Amino acid sequence: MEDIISVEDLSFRYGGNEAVSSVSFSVKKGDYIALVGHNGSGKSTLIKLLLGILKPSTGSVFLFGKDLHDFTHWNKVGYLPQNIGLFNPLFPATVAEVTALGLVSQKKFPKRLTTEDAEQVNQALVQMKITALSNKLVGELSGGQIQRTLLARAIVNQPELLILDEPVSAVDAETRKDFYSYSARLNREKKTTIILITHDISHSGGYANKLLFLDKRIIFYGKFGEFCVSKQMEEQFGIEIQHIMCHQH
Amino acid sequence: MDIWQILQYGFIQRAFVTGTFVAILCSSLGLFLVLRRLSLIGDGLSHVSFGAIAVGLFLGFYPLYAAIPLVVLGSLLIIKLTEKAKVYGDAAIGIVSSFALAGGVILASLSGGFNVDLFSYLFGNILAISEFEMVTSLVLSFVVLLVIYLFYYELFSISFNEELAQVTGIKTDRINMMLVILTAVTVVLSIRVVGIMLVSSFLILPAVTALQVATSFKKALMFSSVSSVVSLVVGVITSFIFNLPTGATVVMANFMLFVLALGYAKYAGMR
Repeated sequence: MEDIISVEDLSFRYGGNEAVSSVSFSVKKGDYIALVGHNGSGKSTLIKLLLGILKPSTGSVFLFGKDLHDFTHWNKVGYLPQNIGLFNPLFPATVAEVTALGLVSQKKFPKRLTTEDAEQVNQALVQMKITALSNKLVGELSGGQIQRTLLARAIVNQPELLILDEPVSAVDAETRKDFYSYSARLNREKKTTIILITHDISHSGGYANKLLFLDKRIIFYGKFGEFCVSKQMEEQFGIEIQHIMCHQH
Repeated sequence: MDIWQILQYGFIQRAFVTGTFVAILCSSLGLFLVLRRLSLIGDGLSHVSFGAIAVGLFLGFYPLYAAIPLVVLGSLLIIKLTEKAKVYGDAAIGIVSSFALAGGVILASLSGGFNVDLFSYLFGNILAISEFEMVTSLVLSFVVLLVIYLFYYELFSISFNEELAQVTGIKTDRINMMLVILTAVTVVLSIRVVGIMLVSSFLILPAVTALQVATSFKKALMFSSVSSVVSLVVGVITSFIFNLPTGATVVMANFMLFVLALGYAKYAGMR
């Protein structure tokens, strides 16, 4: 099966510290990967390296078989960043305008949006249940509404690869449940490859078929079931926590 | 004297035509600069333009001819200092602008002060714009506005969030460089309208006025331009009637509109 992502010996140093150390792995089409690890384990850094936002100290990344330096098919990728709080609350853009920015990647110069694009935006808003917010300024939204807007932006171009950095951190329980069932449906029905950063290891087995446990380097990468019986897991959490986490999903 | 009589004067017509183009240019670009928190680059580049104009006057060139390439060079130096020498953006602006300002003062001193010429560049003299200056400003304004129109989504995208823009395949480094170069050209074009000392307010005030009342990004761009043009017209006519310095009066009109927009936004519960 086709490799959507292939990472070889990837490292990233920030100042004198190694944030990601000699990481190698590959992601197949249709994988749903839960990327887990403690705070500061390098999860968000790894994602930024995969997307070319950060330049690696060593190693290489291939997206859809192309070296990241030569990769141009950004319309195949959807991304939701972690720090929604960093957005300027005075930014004068509506929910529909922000969602439409997700379509820019598939446009050639000079980039212009069409009426079909407006329909695509509308569909993404329907999927995220935020149609009523369409003309509202993003600065007037709650944390959960901003997250839904950015999710709509990430899925509007129907990406083949969706990378989500803690997508449900600022939302209520109902929205979280909605999101998990929506992402599972995308993965199942459209074969969208998903990488999802989460702290919620215990529930990740309910939707992800693989788990990547990172602590600057890869501690475990494989199926959730294998993770539950792995020695690495026992070393990380102890046998009691292992029992609780692996029997919750 | 009524408004129609005032509009009969050639110098008033040139002031309105040039001023309107430069006002739309500054207000459009200013919105991107304010949202990217790069407002002070206009201030820094206006100081660079002081040094550049001094070079032009010292060597006997038409000063704005010297200013355009030198200010663009200054803007590139600011970017390179930020990228390569690990100097913070605001510090890089401070370094380049103070170097250019110091150079300008030394050249002015060596040549005996340039007297009235330099003063007109410091505070602007929109009523003294020649036909040649008007045509040059119109052509350059048209080119800059066309570039903004063609790269609208790239500029919108990086203004919203640079990381997200990068993941849609936008070469953010190139767009940032383009934005700074466009700002350099705009600053030089604005010097005759409001002067070196007041250029940055011409970039910032219409944008922050629009941000008070805009209900979408497109409307923010539109309100910013409308506010800038209204301020220009009110400022030029007021300065003519009451014999006030035109550049400063235009900036005051911009400020009044900002206060009005702020009051309206508070009253209407928009912010």
